[in-house]
Amino acid sequence: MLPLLISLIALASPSPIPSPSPTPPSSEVQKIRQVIQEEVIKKINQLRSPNPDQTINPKFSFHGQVTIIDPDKLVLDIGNSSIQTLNYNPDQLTVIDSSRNKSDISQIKVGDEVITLGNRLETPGDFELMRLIKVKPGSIKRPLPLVIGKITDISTTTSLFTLSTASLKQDFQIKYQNTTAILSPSGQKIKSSQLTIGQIAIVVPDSKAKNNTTNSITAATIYISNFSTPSPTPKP
Amino acid sequence: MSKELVLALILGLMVGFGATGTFYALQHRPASTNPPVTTDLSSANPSPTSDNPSGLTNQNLDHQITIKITSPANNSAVSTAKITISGETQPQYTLVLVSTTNPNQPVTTQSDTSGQFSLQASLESGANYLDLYSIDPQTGQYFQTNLYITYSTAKF
Repeated sequence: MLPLLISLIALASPSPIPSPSPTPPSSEVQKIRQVIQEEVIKKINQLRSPNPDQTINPKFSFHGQVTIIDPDKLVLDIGNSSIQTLNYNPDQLTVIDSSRNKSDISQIKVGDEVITLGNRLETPGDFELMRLIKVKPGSIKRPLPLVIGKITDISTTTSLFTLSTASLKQDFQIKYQNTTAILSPSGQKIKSSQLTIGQIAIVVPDSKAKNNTTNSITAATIYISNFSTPSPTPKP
Repeated sequence: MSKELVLALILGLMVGFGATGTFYALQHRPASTNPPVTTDLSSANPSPTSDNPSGLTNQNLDHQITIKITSPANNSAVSTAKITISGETQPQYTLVLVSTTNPNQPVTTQSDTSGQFSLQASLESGANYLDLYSIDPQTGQYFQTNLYITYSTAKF
């Protein structure tokens, strides 16, 4: 009886009646077609991309400091309070010392700074270490941070302006020289006389400048992200 | 005889209605109410150092600026000196890529109207740290993430 009851209830329940959808105008249809076409072309280009780095690279690399050395695994401190465990087979592992000579895993000590290379395994987070390169401490450089903010003051006597950063809640004195490139993000050259208060400046510190301090920076390149070309004054 | 016929008819009707009803109920049941799979960005580790082969998403929670690098994966080893970094951020933001290869002249671009971007980076042999900034061109609010890539032609 149960199936009979179920069938009667199911048949008795009203089925949803599809509401008539208004036909989109032809321009909208055209737009949808265009968007779909663009997406399809994008996907095809991605699939055809000759650059092997466009797909997930099976080769991994980490830079860090050795914290544990076991007979079959190595643990690295890779910074930002993160550690990474790498499995290895001693017979397949190539070890290079900081003078670029072949070495042995027994020569690697806890605290050594190393670059590791190997293969990602099928299980996410599993790595097979194949090459271990010891490097001199501090020899691997990191880029200097950019200083990004709003120009709040411009010196009329020296090549200097004040940049106020919202994120750091700090003001910086930015020095620029004849060699400093001042550009729009698209690469258009901007004269220093075109710098104005209120512009958003992205300052690339000069990596060779020795007089950079916490609040005073010599710029190698300055990008004005909201630069707009002044419209020519109409002649009477 | 007639009693057996009536019983067979009732039984047949019950089986028939039962099968039809079950089929109808299955066809018209409501769609699954399982919640969609989402990633809680607020709990995501902002550090890009943990390996994430499927891409990297960092977010500035104050300004809701995100950078998702779709290629290459962080902590990759590559065998070419030039790589393409592609990903997604806010639409029409300024992207600046700083590397130690040419620290004074970063690579810049602008994300398109859907937030997609692509940048070419030159690598030096060995370890490379790349800092990528996504900047609101109108306010200067930004978010920065970094990538570690090793360029090596060694076979392994």
